[in-house]
Amino acid sequence: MKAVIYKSLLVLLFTLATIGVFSQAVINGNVKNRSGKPIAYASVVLKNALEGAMTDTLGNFTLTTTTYGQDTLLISAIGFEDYVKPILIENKPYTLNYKLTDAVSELDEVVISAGTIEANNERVVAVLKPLDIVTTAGALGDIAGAIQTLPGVQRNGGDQTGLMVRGGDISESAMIVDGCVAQNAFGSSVPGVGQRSRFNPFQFKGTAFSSGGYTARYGQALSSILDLQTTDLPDKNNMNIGANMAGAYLSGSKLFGNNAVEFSGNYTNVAPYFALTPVNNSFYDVPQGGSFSTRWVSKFENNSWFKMNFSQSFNKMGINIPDPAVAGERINFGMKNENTFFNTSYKYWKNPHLRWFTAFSFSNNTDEIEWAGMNVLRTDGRVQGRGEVWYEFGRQFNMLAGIDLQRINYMQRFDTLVGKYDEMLSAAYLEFEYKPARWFAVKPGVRAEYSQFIARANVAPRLAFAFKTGQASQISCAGGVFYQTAGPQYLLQGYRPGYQQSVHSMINYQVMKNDRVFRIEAYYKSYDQLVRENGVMYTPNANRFYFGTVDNSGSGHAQGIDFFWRDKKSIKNFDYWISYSFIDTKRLYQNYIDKVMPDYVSQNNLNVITKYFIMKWQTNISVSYNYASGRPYYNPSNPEFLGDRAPDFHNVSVSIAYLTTIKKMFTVFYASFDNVTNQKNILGYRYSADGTQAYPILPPMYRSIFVGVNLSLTQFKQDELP
Amino acid sequence: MKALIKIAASLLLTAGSFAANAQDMEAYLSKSCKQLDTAKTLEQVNKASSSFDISAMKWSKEYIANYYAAYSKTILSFMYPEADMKTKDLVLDQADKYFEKAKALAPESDETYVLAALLAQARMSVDGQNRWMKYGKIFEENLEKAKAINPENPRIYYLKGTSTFYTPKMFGGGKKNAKPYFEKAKELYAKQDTTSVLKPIWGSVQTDYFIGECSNEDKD
Repeated sequence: MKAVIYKSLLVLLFTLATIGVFSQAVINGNVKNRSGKPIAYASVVLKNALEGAMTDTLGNFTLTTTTYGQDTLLISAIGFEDYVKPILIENKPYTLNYKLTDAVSELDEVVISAGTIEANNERVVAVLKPLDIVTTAGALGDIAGAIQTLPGVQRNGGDQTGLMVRGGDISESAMIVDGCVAQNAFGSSVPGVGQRSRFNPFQFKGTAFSSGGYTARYGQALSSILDLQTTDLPDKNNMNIGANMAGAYLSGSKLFGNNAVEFSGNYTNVAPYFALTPVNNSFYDVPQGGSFSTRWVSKFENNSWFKMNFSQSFNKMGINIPDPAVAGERINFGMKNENTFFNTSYKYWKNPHLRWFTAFSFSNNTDEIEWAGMNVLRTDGRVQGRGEVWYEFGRQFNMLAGIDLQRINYMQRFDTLVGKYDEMLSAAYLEFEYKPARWFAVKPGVRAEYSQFIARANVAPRLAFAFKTGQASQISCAGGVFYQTAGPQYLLQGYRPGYQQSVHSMINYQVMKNDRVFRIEAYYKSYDQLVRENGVMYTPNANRFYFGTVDNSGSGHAQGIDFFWRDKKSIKNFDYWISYSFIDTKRLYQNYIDKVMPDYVSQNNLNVITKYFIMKWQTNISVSYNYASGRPYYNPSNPEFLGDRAPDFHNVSVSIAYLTTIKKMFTVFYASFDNVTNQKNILGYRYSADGTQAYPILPPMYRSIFVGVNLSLTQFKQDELP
Repeated sequence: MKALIKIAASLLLTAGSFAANAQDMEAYLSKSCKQLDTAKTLEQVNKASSSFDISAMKWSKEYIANYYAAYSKTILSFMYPEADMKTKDLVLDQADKYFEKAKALAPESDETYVLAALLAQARMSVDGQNRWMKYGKIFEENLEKAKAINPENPRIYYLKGTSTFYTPKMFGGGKKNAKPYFEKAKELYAKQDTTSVLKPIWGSVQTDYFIGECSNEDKD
């Protein structure tokens, strides 16, 4: 009995052994992509047998198994669609070749980029982030200053307040914060002295700057939109203290789970700054002021957000400036400003396919101006509400629909003359996005507006589309019709011109790869129904108040080409960008007497921005060079209207930031030197009434030095290492 | 009596087959873990990682099988060259898929939170400059949650140590500041039960390596 058992066991063992040694299925194969290139590191698995193999660099694999019968072969590789195939495994050799299809990934999808430079998606090479703004030499830590280094934007000589984009003047750009218009985005303007924007770059997590052809969500800007999104929750509780040559500030944030409160306060007094820097205009009352702001942020399920911002500021100054009305004369100009801005938004994702967005804002601004001994009072206010819904019908198709209501009021009292008006602007918009293939996207939209004040409606169609031309390159086109009501200076005096209109069309080619971006964009814009003052003499005084008869007979055009190149990759810790714009533009508007290139336009603009972070010294150095060809200016003795050109503008600036930790406080010392070569830029000339005397228009200052320090204390967790 | 024996026998059988299954998985994972631990090249890590793919396929309802698949993909993402950001992200997309499965099976486990932190760290390291704000926060949050559940998990301190190690000194990072975390981790790794891979045990060897690195002075 025992022997029998032993024998049969032996036989069994032998059989098993032979199966083990001699009997196995061998699958040899090769994996390629659709265009025949071998795929390395693809995994080849028999699901039932649980045998796996991996392809080598030539795409070859060998897989062996002893589990026979029906099985499923699964081939997967990074960047490709899985390949699944039933297979009957028998005791024989196989030779199989497979081709995998490229997987559609979000990264490969085309993105409409014409007209817009965005910096809010962390997977896209960011163009301008908060840290970029503050570390850009020459931008003076101001958002608008940094935007001026982008293509299509006019380099401001320092005498203008606002953004001038592709031939548009400062009134044609709007700044949006969390979906609502920032009515007074810049400090109240002073003739000939450019003001900074009221916002701090670190308030924002994303910027989308559109130099034209923008979305139907917005209107009332003939040229451009700067769309800013405030930050989400702070990382940790923290406190910031800083001081510089223009004042001191304190800010902090406190987290409560998914909610946070932030506050900040500052006191400004530019006396120390002016003590070191010669100013071309003298101050009889040095600019000083204070502001306070606070915000509340809550995060909900599914990335839904509630945000509320409030800020209040007071500023005053007294400056001696060239008289805008009479060349060669100077006047005292005093300004007391009080500004309130409240803004709230709620973004709610009901599910990944449905999003609601509501926003509400309120702003109030008061300027008390002393103009050569006369008192002028200006107030304006705006209340805005927006409600919109975004719905995705599937991967390929989505829709955005919304309404936007704005109530705006202006009042101006000049001595005993009072002008005022109330405007109610209602708008509705609808936009679709259709992506039939990952290499093609089209976005048609329409915006309809009604102005109660001028009792007129408009319908503005918009269209953008883009298609991929390669792995990292694409061509994108955008265009549309844009309307804007006449400026407050006309409406306050009782004029009621209709809408001004611009039509944009542009084509853009973009390559984005590995932290390098190349963009080239060509555009054509036509202007129609621009506001014109008839029956008046031309005067280069922007503050004139006699307009003659006002109508919509103005027109113009702008065409040009913009280049942008940014490279963060080639040299470690070195980041640079170059932007160049060429523009050809002419317009007949306001009090112009001929269709010419406007006096705020430079035909050529070049910016070279470099930044280098020296790890060893913990120091960031940025050097910028800005060039703008001379702007036209008015010479009464030249028969050609605005036929004279100012000298070219050059500016080299340097900024240095030293980063360190002092007693658990992250500390940054910074110094910036603007116009280091002390170039005596002349922005144009003003002529005396008889045309015999010319006075240069100068920037507010030449070489300037600004230093400061920022200390930030993050809550120290004592329980971190128990 | 006979009935009792039958029940006992069937119970034994069932238990037996369960045990066999679990042992099977343990043996398989143990082998794959060894493969991953000794892998040095991109190819070797890729191979190890695809063996975890197989185990996650076979034992798709098992937390630990999905856990290791996610873990190995994360390690794999670190192996691709710095310039290959796109591939790194695609590998991490796969890691995310396994992670979601693991998370659904054990949402409130300290190891799940540690794994989430590791994933955030990997995403961040793909493009540190542009991502630290978003993923740095996710990293910290998950480590906090893990610590609230089990402060004795050595991987919490190991990960905190590595992130401190790679943070520039001026932002409060550097070797000197990282060292206490690694030392704390080492202390806890010593207490860890390493007899089975059915509970994550990774990080001990790396901790020793970093402690060695930290004893050199900060140069930058």
